[in-house]
Amino acid sequence: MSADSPSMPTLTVSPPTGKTLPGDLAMWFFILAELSVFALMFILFSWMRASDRELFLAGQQLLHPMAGLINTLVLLSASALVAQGVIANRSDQKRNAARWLYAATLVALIYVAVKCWEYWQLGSAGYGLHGDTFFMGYFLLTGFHFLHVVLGMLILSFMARKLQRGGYGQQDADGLEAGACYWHMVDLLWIILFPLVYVIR
Amino acid sequence: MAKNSFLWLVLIALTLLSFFLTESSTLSWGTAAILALAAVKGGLIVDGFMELNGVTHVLRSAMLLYCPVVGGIIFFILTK
Repeated sequence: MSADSPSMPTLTVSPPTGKTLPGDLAMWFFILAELSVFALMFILFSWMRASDRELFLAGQQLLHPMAGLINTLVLLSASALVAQGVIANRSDQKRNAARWLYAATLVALIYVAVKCWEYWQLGSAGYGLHGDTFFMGYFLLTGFHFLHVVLGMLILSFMARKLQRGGYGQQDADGLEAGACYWHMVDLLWIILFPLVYVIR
Repeated sequence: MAKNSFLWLVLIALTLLSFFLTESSTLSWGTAAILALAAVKGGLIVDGFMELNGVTHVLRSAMLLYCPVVGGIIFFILTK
């Protein structure tokens, strides 16, 4: 083709290479709001701890670090199972996807059992929300997170049931992805909560 | 499956490593190491499990910054 001949129109805009945000945008704003509330609680807990280091260290000695470790491993495992469920749905394996989500819910039940055992142990030893500032912070922080785990389990069960009934198409999985991201947020929060409450002396 | 399993194994390994640093956490480097491990784990969850890797939306940056920023503030408060 000569230089002065009419040339074919060239494509000047490169096609988008980035992936789209999984799930609904509204869910992401909700997740950011939740993360912000927890960030404030983490900062407040750290500040109270810096104000009375001996009291917090003494309170920390009464906790069960192994219980915290088990719960961390449990939440990470449940997150991996949920992620697997989302992938299975993309391959149109709805029954498998539902099984992954039910498995995640069952694994998360271990968290609930361990946390209830911890609360029962501390409660029967006379420690509660109205105790010193360490236990007030501990029960508020872990209790608020506990409620998020329970809500996450309800969402996982609901999504698994919907998958069993044929819900969430390969191209229409926003609800499933949004619910999965909520669960991963619960995991992300524990990633900070665990070292702050159980590990750092 | 393999990618998620590998990610899960790395997260478990980092959790165990951070747990074994408990005795060192009375020192500021120990606290920094534990919070740095938490930041790495947070990044892996955001990019891996939440599938934000490759997403160009500003929300990905916000999510990736969450653990390092909150961890940094906690470190500053605890070691001041």
